[in-house]
Amino acid sequence: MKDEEPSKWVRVSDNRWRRVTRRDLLKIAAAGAAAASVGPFANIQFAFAQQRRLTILHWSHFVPGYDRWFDGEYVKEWGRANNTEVVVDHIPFGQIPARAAAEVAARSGHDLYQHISPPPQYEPEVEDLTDLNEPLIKKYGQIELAKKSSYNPKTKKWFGLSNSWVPDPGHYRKDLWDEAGYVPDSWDNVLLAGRKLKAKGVPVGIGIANDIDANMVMRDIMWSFGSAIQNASSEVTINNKNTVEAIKYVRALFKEAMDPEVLAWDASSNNRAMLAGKVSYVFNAISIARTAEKDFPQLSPQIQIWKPPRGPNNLGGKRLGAQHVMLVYTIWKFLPDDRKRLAKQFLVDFINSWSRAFKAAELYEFPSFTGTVPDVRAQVMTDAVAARLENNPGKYRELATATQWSTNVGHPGYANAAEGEIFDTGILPQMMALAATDKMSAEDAAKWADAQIKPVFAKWKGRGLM
Amino acid sequence: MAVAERRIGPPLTALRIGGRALLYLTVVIVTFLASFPFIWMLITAFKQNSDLYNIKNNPFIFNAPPTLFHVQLLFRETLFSQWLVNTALVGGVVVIITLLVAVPAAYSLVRLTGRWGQRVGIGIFLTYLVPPSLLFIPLARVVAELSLQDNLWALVLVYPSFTIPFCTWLLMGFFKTIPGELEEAAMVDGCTRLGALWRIVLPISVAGLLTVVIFAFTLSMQEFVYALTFVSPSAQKTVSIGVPTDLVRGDVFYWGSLMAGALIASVPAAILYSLFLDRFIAGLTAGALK
Repeated sequence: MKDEEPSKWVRVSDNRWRRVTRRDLLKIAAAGAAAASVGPFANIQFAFAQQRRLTILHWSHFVPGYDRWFDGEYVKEWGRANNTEVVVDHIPFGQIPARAAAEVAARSGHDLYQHISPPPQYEPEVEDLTDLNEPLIKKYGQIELAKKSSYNPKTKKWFGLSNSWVPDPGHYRKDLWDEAGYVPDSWDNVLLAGRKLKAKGVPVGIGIANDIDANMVMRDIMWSFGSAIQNASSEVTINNKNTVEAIKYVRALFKEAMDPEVLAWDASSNNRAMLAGKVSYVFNAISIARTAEKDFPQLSPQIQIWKPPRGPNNLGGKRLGAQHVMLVYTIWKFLPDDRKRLAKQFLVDFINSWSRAFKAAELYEFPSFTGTVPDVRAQVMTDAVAARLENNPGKYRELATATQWSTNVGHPGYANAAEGEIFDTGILPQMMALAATDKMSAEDAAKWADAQIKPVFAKWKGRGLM
Repeated sequence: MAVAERRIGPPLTALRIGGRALLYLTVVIVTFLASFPFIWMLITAFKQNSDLYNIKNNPFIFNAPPTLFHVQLLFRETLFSQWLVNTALVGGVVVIITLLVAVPAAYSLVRLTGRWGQRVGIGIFLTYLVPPSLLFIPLARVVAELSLQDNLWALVLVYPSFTIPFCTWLLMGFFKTIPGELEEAAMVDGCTRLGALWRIVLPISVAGLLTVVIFAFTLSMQEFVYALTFVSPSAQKTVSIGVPTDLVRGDVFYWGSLMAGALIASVPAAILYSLFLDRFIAGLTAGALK
């Protein structure tokens, strides 16, 4: 087709053409320009009407009522008061590290990320929350183990804000232990009673496997025997005679008071074993006791709580238990500033309201900022649920002193990235298992652990985080 | 006098009877083992916790009255129905995408690429062997760049990355058994290559296509790592991630509801398998004989 001035031919289908005059062309262009100019204004109008949005990632809480309260009540109230849509997502607790790694890799994720163990390895990726922690500490005070789980003394950075933590007491079958003639107040008693109870078919149930419970209790034993992975200055100290004694103790406990299945336990194994009446002593958060109250009313009065046992007197006689769960919120650095500000505002308001969270958690969580729940002791000493179901309001009284016998992973130092990696790779339970199964002597197992741990410390020190 | 009927076949010797008995015994044992997980799930879904945990009780019977509590908890306290819908949606779309890509890919590799086709096919299959635990982090970046984070469509995008390689390799084996002369005859009669594929090859390949459908669907249904990484809102989850999130709380497992969820989610797949069992086996074994 030949173009003819002043019009042009325009193809409208395979074999159809039509003329477009100059006037048509100008009309079309003007209409298009007018439409394009309205677009940005429509967007701005839409933005003014749009609510702010805050996304939070939580684990699926052991207490379903806590999630119902937080998701269904608290965040809705806060959202209305702050013209914000708050979205709370949940994942299984075991998947928290994987999801965090994915969000860091994607440079996209939730505004508030809740970890259930200290996350020092993410320090380069998270906001410094000094501006939140320090005023809250001045206002409420903070327990030491919360500081050691969310602060890096080397970089002077608060890499997280810990709202709460979960103690890890012993659960024991009082009826069986009374028959044996002991209380689980010392590790010596645990072994002595354990021998008798194993003979009766209800052995001690402490995992020696790569799971959260075993990791905690192996640390409890090491600390109670006067040893530790690191000292307060982040130097590796595991290879010493106290560690050897702790390993020998665990070997004796395994052979004389436990069943071999503990080598293959996971986080739920001790719960199931205790509730099935298969074992007589475990370490756990009070999820076991609370589950027994709800589902096993005949067994529940026999399951009682006790502090972690003392170590041998000749090795210091310490009584120390690791925190079972350490709840720490982080805010990713890669988020836009407005989202970070909103997340910080939420955290401050949440801490100021934390007494409500304490109630919703049914004594599972304890406050990191002590002043947020001034009457913790009174509430622990008179538990309404235990009073109603078992006529035993003081069932959880041992938790009233939890801050005295609980400490952080990394004790006596901080919960640093190296300690986190050692925890995740299960080096301590492996050390104990190697000796318990006679694959190594206690001395060699301590040396083996030392050889595994030192490169991890060197790596993280090389990255400037320790 | 009536003529006695002669028995057709070899005489029933003791050996034959013994052999038959052994065969049936083996079948019964294998059937029991194969169906045991379903039996266990069914019993546990309706068993009271106190009965389940009591190690003195016979685990295969209801020692206490059965209960609907676990099923009620599954449907009332979780978004299980929504998760089933999400799983079906994702599975269905992934199956369609897989068929649209794997069928022409497998056909091309078998018919059009000569000696290199087999090698390329193996190379494609090897990508299936890369575990999701290695890929989920880089794929998280891709998903975020496409603004599909926390969206069900992220799974629709990602799942074909493992269904297509596997199904392409599967279909290659199947297409190899179809004589090329059939298509040549069709093309002599005026069909294009595509027409021969559509009119001749695909109707003969129903068994292989069904195998692809079943595999792609079940691979999508059971996938966990990507579903965990890319989708966190509860209403967007699939069964494989929604059930453990809501029914495994800390160290407490809601066994009854978990088993109910697993049973309900697996029954449709089991029905699908059994409806098309003959064709499924034909599809799997198509490449075994030359």
